[in-house]
Amino acid sequence: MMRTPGEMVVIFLAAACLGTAYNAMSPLGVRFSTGTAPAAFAPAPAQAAEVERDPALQNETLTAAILTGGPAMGPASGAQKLTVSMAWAEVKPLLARGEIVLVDGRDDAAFEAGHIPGAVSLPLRSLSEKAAEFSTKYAQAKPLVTYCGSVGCPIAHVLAEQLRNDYGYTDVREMPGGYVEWRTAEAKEERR
Amino acid sequence: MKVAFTLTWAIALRWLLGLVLLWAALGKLANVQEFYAALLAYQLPLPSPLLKTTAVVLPWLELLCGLMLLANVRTTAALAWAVLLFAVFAASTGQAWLRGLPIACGCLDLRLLGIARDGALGVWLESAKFAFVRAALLAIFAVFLLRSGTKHSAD
Repeated sequence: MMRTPGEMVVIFLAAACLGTAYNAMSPLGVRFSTGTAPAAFAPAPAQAAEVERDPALQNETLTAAILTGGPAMGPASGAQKLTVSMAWAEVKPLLARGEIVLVDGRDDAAFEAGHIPGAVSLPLRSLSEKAAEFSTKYAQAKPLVTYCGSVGCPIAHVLAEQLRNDYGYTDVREMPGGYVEWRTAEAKEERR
Repeated sequence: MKVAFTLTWAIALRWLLGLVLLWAALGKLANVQEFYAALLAYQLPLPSPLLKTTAVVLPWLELLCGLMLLANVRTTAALAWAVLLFAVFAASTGQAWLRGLPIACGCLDLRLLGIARDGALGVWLESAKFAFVRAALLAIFAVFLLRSGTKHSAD
């Protein structure tokens, strides 16, 4: 019994180590620094200062993506080349150039737990409440790409349908691989 | 050589606690984000980093303790953790029940039993009320085993 507290500490430390390692490797792990843009999305200091001064860009999570782009993000493809379903590799350069709005259809808690940098939260569950605010920010002609957790979740598809049919957005695509695809792809990039 | 084994109530209880912890851990590890979302739904007055740390560490704590209880390794320490964990679960689900929060406890993955979470049985099993009763009972079992001071083993 005398050794019990020490053993409990050891068990806790082992759980903490395993948990940290597993969380870092798992595509569905919790991110401790949500919303931090990877280096490819980081705006130049002067541009970042401009964003801070411009009230029209406040609360706009796409700003970092809009301010970047160029040859490092791949060849120009343009919104006209969008397809109904898109992979992260296709979405990434368009997002970086601000040619699309990436829409996360998961609940607030899931978005807060981790999301693709530059994505805008529009939970399907509260679409009717948040659609008006979304519409004032993004015109109906703006190309949208919806995503959710992974290929296993239907939210991205349903959200895309509703935005198109009920809210008049003319160019709505989906990224079926969702958050898991992004995490997997970015993890591979980081390892290179 | 003949090895004698007698299944006592203490061993059965220890196995039960171990299996429940293991089951709970595997469900959470399958989707840590989902577990974190469930934690947020409890609306506990805790900072976000602490809740995230809980989401990361807790499933592994459950897994290790569950395995140790099943294997009868460092049983006292594992039981002590089990008491703490079940007491915290009971307190969390109890406050959610009292506050009438419409939450799914996120404790056990019912899909392993073929029970849909959004079905009538799934909703009842995942309700804060049932989760509180379950956690409180398991905490009492763990305290009882811990206080009995037995080795809970066949040796």
